[in-house]
Amino acid sequence: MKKYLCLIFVICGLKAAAQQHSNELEKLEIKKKKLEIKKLELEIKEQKLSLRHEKNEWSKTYLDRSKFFLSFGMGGSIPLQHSTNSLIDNLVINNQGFYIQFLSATLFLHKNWGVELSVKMNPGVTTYPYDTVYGYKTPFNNHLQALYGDRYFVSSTEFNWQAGPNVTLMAGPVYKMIKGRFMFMPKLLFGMNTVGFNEGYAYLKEKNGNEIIDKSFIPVSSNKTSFAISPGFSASYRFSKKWAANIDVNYYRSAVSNTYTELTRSYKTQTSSTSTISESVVNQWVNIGAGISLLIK
Amino acid sequence: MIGTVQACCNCADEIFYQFKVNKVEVSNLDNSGIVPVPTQGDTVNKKAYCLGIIMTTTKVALQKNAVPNLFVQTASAQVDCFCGGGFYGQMADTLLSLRIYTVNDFDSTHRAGAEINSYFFSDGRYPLAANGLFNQPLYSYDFASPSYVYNYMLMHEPQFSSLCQFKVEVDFSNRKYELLTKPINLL
Repeated sequence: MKKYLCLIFVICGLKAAAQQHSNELEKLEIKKKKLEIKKLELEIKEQKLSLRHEKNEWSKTYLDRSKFFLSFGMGGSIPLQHSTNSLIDNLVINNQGFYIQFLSATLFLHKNWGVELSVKMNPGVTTYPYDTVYGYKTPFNNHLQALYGDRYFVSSTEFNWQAGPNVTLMAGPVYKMIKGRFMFMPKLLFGMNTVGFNEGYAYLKEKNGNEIIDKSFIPVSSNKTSFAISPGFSASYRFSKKWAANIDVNYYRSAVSNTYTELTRSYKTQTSSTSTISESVVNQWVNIGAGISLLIK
Repeated sequence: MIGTVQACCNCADEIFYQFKVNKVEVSNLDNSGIVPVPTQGDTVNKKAYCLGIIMTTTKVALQKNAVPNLFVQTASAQVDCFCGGGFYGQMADTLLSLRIYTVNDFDSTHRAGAEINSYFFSDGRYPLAANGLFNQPLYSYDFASPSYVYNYMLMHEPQFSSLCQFKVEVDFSNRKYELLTKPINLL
């Protein structure tokens, strides 16, 4: 009987000891977990602090500001085509001289691909004098010289106060390449170009004779709108969080046709005659300009 | 400085000039080139003959304008320092008519002594009036004595003889000039 009682006491003692030990282990585990939570909390705090620091100093790359931007700029237009024996080629008012890019909006829908819409204008094409500033009169005179120079002394003038400025409205895909603060953007734009046409006047004096002929070439439309295609290239440098400086080079090609009314008055016979000339011309020019961009996002 | 401005802007009263034609000359011109030039020889291309008439004038009167400068004009000049013209010339003469006659037989419809105005075009553009009526007061806006140059281009070729000569009658309101060109061969 004593043996049983002793055995029961021993078992109870062992149980109590085991329970005490397990309680101590649980307490240790809880302490460990608490320490881990504190560590995590500290890490989160550190991360929050680092994020705040990054927000205060803007990213020096183009990456986070290259999804949508508006550009403004100006520059010069250089016509590429040479005058030919075509009348209209010598009377069309090319895109040349100073140009203004009122607006160019670029939106990137994909990591590298986006669309651009741009509006440009050559305001100075209707200013005088054409020959000294834009060299219109000389090729027109050469054209008339080739036609009538054998029999007549030729002098000519041309102008058109009705022709407005040449306006170019283009849209198309663009592709961007970013390297640090630089962005390079080839593009292919399509759209329309309004082009003006000069009136041409010629005075023909007969060689070895008294005959005088006045000729006038009046365009049926002073302005026409034509389809244009323009591959181009832009290079940008982001100099602040929201602003970048651009350089743009764009080639343009546009075909347009028009009809001219040719009025011929011969003073020797005191007669007048009228005819029409319908021709087309391919305008080609290069715009080289610079501007700034507002980087919205 | 005020003195300089006043000197610059003190507009003098306008001066009124009168001129009068004192000499009329006729000449044979060769219009083979861009503009007619006096011919040195006695032959001109028959398609390029031009009759030149030059009227020279002389100043016959000078008087101050009866209308002095208004205060407003002077005040305006004080601002922009521009007094305007200041000179007004007026011809005392009125050219009433100008007639050209052929001295020799020119063609079947214009025999010797016939008026040939309609064959001559002023600057090659418009024929002279058949009756030679001009009735044109002459004006000048220059204070120097002006000259008036008329170029009449012959638009028809002679049929009978290449030797041509023309008589020009210039009729002013109070006197008449009768002049003969030198004989010239139109070949």
